[in-house]
Amino acid sequence: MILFIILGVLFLGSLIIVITHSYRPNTARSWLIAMVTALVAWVASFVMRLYLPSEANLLTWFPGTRYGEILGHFVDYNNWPYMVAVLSMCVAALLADVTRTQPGITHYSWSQTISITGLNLLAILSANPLTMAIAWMITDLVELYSLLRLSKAAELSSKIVNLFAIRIFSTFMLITATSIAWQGEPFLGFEVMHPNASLFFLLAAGLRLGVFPLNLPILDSPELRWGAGTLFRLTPAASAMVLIAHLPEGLTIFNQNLLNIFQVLTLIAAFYSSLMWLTRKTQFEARPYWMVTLSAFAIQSALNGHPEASRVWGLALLLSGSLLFLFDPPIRRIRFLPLLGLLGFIGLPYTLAASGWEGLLPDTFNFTSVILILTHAFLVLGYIRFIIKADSTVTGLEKYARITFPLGLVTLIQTILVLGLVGWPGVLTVGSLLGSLSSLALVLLGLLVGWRLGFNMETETISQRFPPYRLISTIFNFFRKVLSLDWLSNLVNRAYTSLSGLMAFFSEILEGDGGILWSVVFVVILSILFLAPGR
Amino acid sequence: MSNTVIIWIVLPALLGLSLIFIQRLPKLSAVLGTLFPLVFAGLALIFSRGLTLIFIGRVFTLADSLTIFGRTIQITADQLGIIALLYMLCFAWNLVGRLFIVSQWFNSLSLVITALWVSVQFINPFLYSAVVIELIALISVPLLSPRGTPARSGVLRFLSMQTLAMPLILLSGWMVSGIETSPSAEALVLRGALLVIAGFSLWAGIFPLHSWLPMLTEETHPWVISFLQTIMQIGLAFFSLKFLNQYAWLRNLEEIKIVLKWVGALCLISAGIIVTFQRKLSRIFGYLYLSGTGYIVLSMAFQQQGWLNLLTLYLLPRAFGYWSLGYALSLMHEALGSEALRLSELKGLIWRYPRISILLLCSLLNIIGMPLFSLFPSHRIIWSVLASESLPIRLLIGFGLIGMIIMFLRVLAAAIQPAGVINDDKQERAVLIVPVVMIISLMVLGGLFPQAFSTPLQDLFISFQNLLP
Amino acid sequence: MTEFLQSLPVYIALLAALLNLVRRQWSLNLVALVVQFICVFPPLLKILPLQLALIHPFTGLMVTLILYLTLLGVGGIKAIDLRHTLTSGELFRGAAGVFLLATLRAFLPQIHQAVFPLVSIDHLFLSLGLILIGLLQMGTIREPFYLAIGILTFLSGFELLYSGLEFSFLLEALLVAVNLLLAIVGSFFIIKDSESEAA
Repeated sequence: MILFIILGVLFLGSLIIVITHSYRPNTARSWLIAMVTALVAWVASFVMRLYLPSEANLLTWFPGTRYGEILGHFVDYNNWPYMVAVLSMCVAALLADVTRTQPGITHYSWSQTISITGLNLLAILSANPLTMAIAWMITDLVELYSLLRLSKAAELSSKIVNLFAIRIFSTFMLITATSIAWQGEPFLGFEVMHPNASLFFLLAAGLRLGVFPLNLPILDSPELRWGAGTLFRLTPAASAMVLIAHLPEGLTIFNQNLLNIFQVLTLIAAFYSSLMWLTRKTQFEARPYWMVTLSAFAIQSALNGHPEASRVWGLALLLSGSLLFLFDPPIRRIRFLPLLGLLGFIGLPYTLAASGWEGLLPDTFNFTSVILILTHAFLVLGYIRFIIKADSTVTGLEKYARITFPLGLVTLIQTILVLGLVGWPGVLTVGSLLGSLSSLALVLLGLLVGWRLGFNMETETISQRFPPYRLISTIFNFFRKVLSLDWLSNLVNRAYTSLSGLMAFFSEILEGDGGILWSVVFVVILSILFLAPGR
Repeated sequence: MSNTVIIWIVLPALLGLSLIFIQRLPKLSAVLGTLFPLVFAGLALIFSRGLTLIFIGRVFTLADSLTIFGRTIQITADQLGIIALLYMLCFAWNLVGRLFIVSQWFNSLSLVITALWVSVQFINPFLYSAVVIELIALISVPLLSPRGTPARSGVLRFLSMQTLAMPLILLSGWMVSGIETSPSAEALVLRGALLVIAGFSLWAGIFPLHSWLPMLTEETHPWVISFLQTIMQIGLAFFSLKFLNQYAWLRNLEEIKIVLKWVGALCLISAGIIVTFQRKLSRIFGYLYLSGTGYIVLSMAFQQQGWLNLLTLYLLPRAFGYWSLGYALSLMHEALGSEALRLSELKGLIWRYPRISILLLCSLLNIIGMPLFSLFPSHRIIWSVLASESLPIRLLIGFGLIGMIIMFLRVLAAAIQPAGVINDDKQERAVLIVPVVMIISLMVLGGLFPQAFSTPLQDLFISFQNLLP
Repeated sequence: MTEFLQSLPVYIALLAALLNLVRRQWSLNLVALVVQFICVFPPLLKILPLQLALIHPFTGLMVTLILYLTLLGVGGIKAIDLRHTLTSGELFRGAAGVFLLATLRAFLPQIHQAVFPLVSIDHLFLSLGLILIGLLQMGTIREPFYLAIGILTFLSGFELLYSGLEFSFLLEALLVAVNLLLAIVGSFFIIKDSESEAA
């Protein structure tokens, strides 16, 4: 029931905004409706914690036949934290957005914020992969529509196609996975994810998150930096994270060699992205790398046989991430607020991410562990760096905005704290001291070096003070080119052009003057093939 | 009059022919052309529970057979579901046919063609239906190649292929006559099966005998070709089921199942690969029919495992998918004034014609079988059951689907590419929002409540007793 | 001699079909088509009663008449020019046709024995020969008129073959309808083409 209230109230709110605005336009009223709607859903989501697990069947396809399927929603400890996180982001985005005066902020933005949240919740709360595939499709189409409204620029249109292509292929992978997992029984839940289909499920999530292959499905349009933009970029990852969290622990029994390949790819993606995160100029430029690094952490957890540990990295991606990205304008006086976002992913004992080390660091300490600890440290360092760089002194803020803006950030912080306490049984844990303390040590070392450099990442400054920088930079650029996949895109284009010519030639033969005779020849050949075997 | 054959074959054909005489009154012709099939479909549904009807105290009883040239044609109550479906197709296409500039004979000939497709299902001996299919092909010519345009190669190729198919089917019947009583004639059975497969392959345009399909869709108005191809695909599906139902030797032949599986998979992969390289939407439409044929053939390959039921889940959404895509392409045809609908002409379509573009994109997603849309539930079942098949078949189907997705992305890329300067003073009609919203809603409803599409057809195959599990 | 006379219609019909395959003169083609349909009559008479055997040639004559009247309407009927030299395309088609017929003749006994033992050799040669030439015509030509002739030749061969296997009034009626409709479609194409050219 509460589940329906949460979803219903979001969609209803969105509808009311559209209707009332078309009747008598008033942006403030629209914001208020959106705010009330989001708050009701947000509070209800906390109440939901008392009723876990809880389910709601929506539809049954072909009941009574062997093709029966069930579409529905389900909340448990795997997806409840994500639901709370996404709703908190919605509330925070609405509160933070009122500081902005750009013309792009209209009633449509408010309505979009809550409807996008509602749609993503449909996917996050899916009871089974089938429901999730449908919810993904809805979300992707709405996202496509919204992005197309943003801009007609040629560059953006090709990026939109790329983004949608990745999304649709991820949905295709999910369908493939469910098809493989189908055992002639209706899908009741995620338990259908047998090990033989799990890799496809992982691939579906990896594609959506931008990890397999390393892609950055992010459009860095100025419009997408606002509240709804942050939601657009971050929330689709949540449902993919839920999918990872549901993967069976027996994933590793499927094909060890294939798993190793995945593991190496994820590791490369994580390390590379964390370095990029650390070295970008602004947090918005670095946002895709934030997502890829933490997504790679989540996938790594699943590959190490601890899919439930992926939760904390997913939550860090959403909560700490949105805390930083919504901190715009970056007001110097309140920069301690986003700094508290570190609690979401620093991984120290009894913080939210403490249980995440279990997924990252396998039982035996090895080279992979070193890389992952290093990656984590880079991530923390980058986060701190962007906050330290916040030195804006905005003076023209409205009175209400002076309250709502920090309040939005506080919403996220308190969600991190609450989830760190009651997110799921066993959330309060020491975690891996080796991992957390090593990472912390590296961070402190990095801060020391940064302090010496004046936290200046300009190429010239670093190369003067750190001689091997040029060599590292060359290697790094090489990796960057390889991982950008531009070479692959060129290769595919060339292959496509060549094949296109071949296909045209083939069509010309079949559709040309002698086409019928060719058809007769084909019939004869196929007849021989049909009659020949065993005779 | 009180005879099923007269009501659902002779009368519609005569009414269709009579509409030719009022073609100069297009509105009246369109209204009657829409009304007649609706009435015949409605009557078929009413009588499908029994050929006796009590209405306002009067009893109407229909005879179920008619003898022509010494042969008896029989239509029983069980078979009226098929008839209702065929007339519903005719109704659906005539309903909005007048919105487009198609042949003035569309209303009349569509009704005649539907009556002939009905007769194909019931002529006895059923092999002679092959000649009726040839007649249908010939009658379709004025629609495919209306006056004022030169005869193009697609329609000529279509005629040739349909003509080639007919003898193969007729000869198969002769070749295997008496096969039931001589169980040792294995070679004869194989030859007969081969003729049947070759005949159907030519009719349906199965790879590599499909060349006429994209040629025809390229040069014909999308509304006309979508009607002709949809009714042909569904009519042929019923006819081939009749073959399987009648001929135990064909049904029980082990090779036929293997061949059908491979033929289905081949259709999907060939359509998927070729469609990736197409530059014209009109030709893409043709390959979508090829892919649809693949799914139908796959359903038949597994008929013994109860896949016939699957066909009932599949037929109506597919027909609706073709209808909506045909509608979208026809709107584009009129809006862009382009026959081939090249992808390069679609630049900026989403901003120039947003409603048509959205309909087009949703229709493509629907026909590919993506989630949320009406074909997904049945496609999903097919993919799931095939997942346990051999790896090559799985790969063929998977790559076929990937090809279709790439095609969709190419269309999307073309539609959202900025158009630059276009001297186009045409404006999209605002009223289009109504049909577009209705059609997309129906697609989504079918995708969420698939029973809505499958329940009306649940007894469709009741007359194919030998094929039911 | 009697045997030769009995086989004569077979060869004349095939020759007429070959002529239609090779030459592109509407008047000549119509005459050849009439000859082809008439020459089918004697083989049919061997297996069917007179009234039934007459159906096919009679339909053929009607078909030719429809095509003739259409061609007359669009001004396509001209005096037959027999002195016209053969083009390379005509030579190729002619050679291909002859090659096909020769191959068919060579394998005819095996086909007869394995597939159609109930049909006489001459009957089989004529029917399969017409089918092959019709097929070649359909496969190498795009002009509607010649395609119609190709289909008519193909169907003629098939009807001949099938009548040697079994006979049905319903089927015969349907095939007559197909032939007549084909002629109408052919005429339709001819008129359309002439309209397009005029425009």
